[in-house]
Amino acid sequence: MNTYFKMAYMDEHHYLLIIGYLEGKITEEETQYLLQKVQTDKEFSDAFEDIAEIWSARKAIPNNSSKANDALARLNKKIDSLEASGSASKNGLVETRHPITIIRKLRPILTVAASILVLAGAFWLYKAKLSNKPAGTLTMTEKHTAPGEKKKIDLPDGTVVTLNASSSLHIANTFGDDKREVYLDGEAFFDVKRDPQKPFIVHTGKIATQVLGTHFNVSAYQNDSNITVSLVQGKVQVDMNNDPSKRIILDPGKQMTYSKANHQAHVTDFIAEDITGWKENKLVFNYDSWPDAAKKLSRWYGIPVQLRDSTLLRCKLKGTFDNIPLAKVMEQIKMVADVSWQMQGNKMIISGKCN
Amino acid sequence: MDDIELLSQVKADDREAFNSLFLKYHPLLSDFCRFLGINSDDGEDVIADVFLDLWVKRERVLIHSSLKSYLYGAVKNRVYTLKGKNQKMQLLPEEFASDKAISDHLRPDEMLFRKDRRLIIERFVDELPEQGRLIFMMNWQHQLDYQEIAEILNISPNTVKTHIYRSVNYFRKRLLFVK
Repeated sequence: MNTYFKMAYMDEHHYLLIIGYLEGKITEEETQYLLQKVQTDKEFSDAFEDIAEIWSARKAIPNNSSKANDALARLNKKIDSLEASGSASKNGLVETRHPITIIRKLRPILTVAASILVLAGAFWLYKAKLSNKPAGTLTMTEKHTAPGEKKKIDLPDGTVVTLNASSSLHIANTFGDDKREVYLDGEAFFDVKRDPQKPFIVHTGKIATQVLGTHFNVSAYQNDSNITVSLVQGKVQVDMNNDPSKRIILDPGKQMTYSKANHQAHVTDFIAEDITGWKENKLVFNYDSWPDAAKKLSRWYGIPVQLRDSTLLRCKLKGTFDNIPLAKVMEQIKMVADVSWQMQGNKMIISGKCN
Repeated sequence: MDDIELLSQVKADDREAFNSLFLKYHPLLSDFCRFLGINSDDGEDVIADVFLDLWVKRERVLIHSSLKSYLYGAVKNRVYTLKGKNQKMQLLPEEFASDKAISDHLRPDEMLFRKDRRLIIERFVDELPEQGRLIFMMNWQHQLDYQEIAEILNISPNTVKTHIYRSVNYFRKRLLFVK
């Protein structure tokens, strides 16, 4: 049976219940019923998503207050002249030109704000009681990549994870029961299949990133100084140290960087290619410090990389390399930065200074 | 202050309360007029007439369920009279003037996405039969409840519900092809 016919079986009452929920007009009891229905009835939850989408497309009614004030001033003139002439008859509506002072106290005007997004957000937060348990006794399936290797992993729910080099992804055996939980060490891009009933949670040390369905990148190498979560599409919720007061909700185009050193997080804009370029075999340095860049090179090409001069620690590197051999990358870096490099057996040594 | 309080103050000759009501409903009723297919000058006249009427008759005006449905009903009746009298006045509605209220806190790409979605839904709305379209817009866009719409259009609340149900079903079928 296709969706087209299935839909016909949703009854009027259920539609109106969903609309009532989106408008904030149903009782607590009805809300409970709806939440239960969303989680157990696929047709109902499909309908919920569609209707939420229709409702979120509603535009705010333009609120042109100067136009309204002008119209009110004209109306008040009419009323004043009407009352001054002592006639309450509607036929006496003759424009009079004498100036009348109108004292108006402007009250805040209620606007019909499209609050559906907020409602939908509240709905999702309500449903998704986050748990940030460490791996502990859970049984897991493990996928990992060698240096220089990338892997696409299809999860049972239809989510596709692209795992960057030297990374590992643990998938809880309870994955898909009521939550979809994975544990990441390294970097991965997630294309999460939408399923509002089963939140998708990526655990990376003290950071738990929770989504319902979206595209985002997580970089959390154990030996890197930061964890970054970059959102391409949708919405994600990032929790730190299991502390709800530190919760961050990211919008598309925003990325959160968490410093392991001071346990602080901040949110910045990012350019998609800088973050997800690795998926297309682009080695991207995005104002990386030389130590971080060296780690990236090491993971990308699978060799140890050592920085000889401590002055290099303070410089940053920006650039994109399109799947070319290490020697070419280094030659190109040499052209713009005051560095030299040499191989010592299997190991690369970079020396030079900031410029 | 809610409508009931404001209205009782209007009944007690309070012009400030009257002004507040006007400012609250002017944007909504302007949009409604535009939706009913009259140009903005005619819309302004209609709204002014409705409020003038409310002020003049303030002592004896009877509001059955809500002031909101009274105002929408009065505007609708006047617009229909106007359109019936002079079909030439049925000019194309103006382009929707501004999206300021939602654009304030949305990023450009989000706005674009939402705008696309909105345009698609608005196109679906246009495909509805006239009565269904009016009812859906009153509920969806103007947030009038079923009872209020029923009163304004002088039909039963159940008919209103059925129209909304059908419209939503129609959109869902149409959305299948966009996804």
